[in-house]
Amino acid sequence: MIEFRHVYKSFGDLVVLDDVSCEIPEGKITMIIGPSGTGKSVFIKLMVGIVKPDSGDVIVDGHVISSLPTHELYEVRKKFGVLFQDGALFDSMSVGENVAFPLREHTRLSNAEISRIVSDKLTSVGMPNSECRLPSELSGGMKKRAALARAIVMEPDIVVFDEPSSALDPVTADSIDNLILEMQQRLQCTFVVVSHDIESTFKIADYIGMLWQGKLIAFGEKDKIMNMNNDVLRQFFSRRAQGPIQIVPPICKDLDEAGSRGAGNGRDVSSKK
Amino acid sequence: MEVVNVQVLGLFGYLFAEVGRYAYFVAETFRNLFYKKFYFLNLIDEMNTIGSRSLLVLAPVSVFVGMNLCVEGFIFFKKFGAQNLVGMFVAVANIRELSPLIAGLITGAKAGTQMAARIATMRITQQVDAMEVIGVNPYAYMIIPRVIGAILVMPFLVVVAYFVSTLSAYLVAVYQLGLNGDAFMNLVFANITMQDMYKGMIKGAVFGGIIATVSCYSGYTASGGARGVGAATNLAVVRMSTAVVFFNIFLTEWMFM
Ligand SMILES: Nc1ncnc2c1ncn2[C@@H]1O[C@H](COP(=O)(O)OP(=O)(O)OP(=O)(O)O)[C@@H](O)[C@H]1O
Ligand SMILES: [Mg+2]
Repeated sequence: MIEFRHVYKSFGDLVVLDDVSCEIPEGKITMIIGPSGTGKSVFIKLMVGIVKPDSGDVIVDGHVISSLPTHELYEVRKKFGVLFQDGALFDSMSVGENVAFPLREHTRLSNAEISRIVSDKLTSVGMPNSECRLPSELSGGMKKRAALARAIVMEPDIVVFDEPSSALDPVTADSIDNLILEMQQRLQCTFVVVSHDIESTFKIADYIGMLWQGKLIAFGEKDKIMNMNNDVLRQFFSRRAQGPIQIVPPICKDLDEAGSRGAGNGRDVSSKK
Repeated sequence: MEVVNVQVLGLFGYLFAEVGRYAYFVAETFRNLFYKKFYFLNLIDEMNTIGSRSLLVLAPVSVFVGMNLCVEGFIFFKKFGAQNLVGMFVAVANIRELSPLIAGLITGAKAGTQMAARIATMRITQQVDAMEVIGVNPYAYMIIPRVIGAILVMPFLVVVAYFVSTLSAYLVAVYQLGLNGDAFMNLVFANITMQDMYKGMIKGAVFGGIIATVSCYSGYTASGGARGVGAATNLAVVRMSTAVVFFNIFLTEWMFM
């Protein structure tokens, strides 16, 4: 189980997470949603210990990630399979070597065994026979899928995806959803998925957490969250520009119909880098 | 960010903080030497890269350094009618000072900048984070092989620089300046000992350590996109060439005084 206890994180003056607490249940798919720039990626980085909280604790299976000595942290991280938002493939290695990297580091499998698993995983993300290609030769969506294959190659206990389908066409995106469901049913692993895709959230999530303005404003089972009477959630789920979440206020104002509220209420994301 | 620091703390404070962070990085590198895994293949790979990259530039540069040294020595000693002693000058100046320094600066310019740019790119594109999350220690995987590789390869680069420059000095002395070749060589051998050779190699090893740690540090702490990679590479060159020349004084004082 993964637990956030009163986690607070800021970069300089920018408060990204403000007193976030939650328990991400084991063996379930938890989707983290929220507008761009609210700290979803930071949330994930806190979970795997790449970013340290200013205060509060992140606890994974009883280990306090934020205060673990280095070598223990590396041990705990072996439980994780992580897909970063922009893939982060090793650009000096081919796709096959990238996917094989965790296996070579942490197992004693033979080369034949490794290449069998690698080709399996690449096929399951829709990229068969691409072992020899270099990351620089791939399209954005292909990079994402190759990184996805690398993240799941060890069949980890906890799978963390930062926007797995954001660069993908709808058909591939749906097949990634199915891959997640299939893996979750087969291995009973815990999924934490950041997504902007409302449809897929409703399809695969067991739990949903919504981040907004540094707070985890809602966290709970899917049905509960879907029926919650909260303006922010409702706006998000209905994909409207009008509402408490204001991305680019001036333009929105022009387009606003009567009855919209809360202009200037939200954070101006465009003013940040 | 750095500019703000400079204003708040003053240049001295900034330098002090930077040296502190570097020291922490070096300490962390040493601590991870005893991390359970040592990446021997990466070490071999790095030694190969550092050696072959630097050698291609170092060898021709050493030819010119040797020629120059010989001509300068000749002009100077000729004032006293002692131009035959030029071999002595070449031998001492070369093994003690010039060869280690040239080898250091060239290795820094070739291999060091490559380390800084490479690691900075990996940092900025989150490849370092990805490695950590996969459970692979980036110090063990990519920093330590580079640092040890540079420490092991540099002494040999010094020796190469030494032989190449002495040979070129010899050729200039004999074929341009018309000196006696045997006398030149006798003076070279009479004025250096194996000790001098070892000390030159020790200098090389120390420079190798400085170059690799400074380059890796500059890359590892890079931030901010393509501009960050450029800044890291630039800082690496400035820092390591200053550090190499600076520590050269202490090594000379310590070993040859
Ligand atoms: N290393 C960093 N240094 C400074 N600021 C940062 C850093 N990482 C993130 N931030 C800031 O933290 C905020 C949250 O960033 P984060 O990447 O978590 O957003 P996000 O919710 O993942 O957005 P998106 O949906 O667009 O990916 C942003 O305003 C960003 O500018
Ligand atoms: Mg993000």
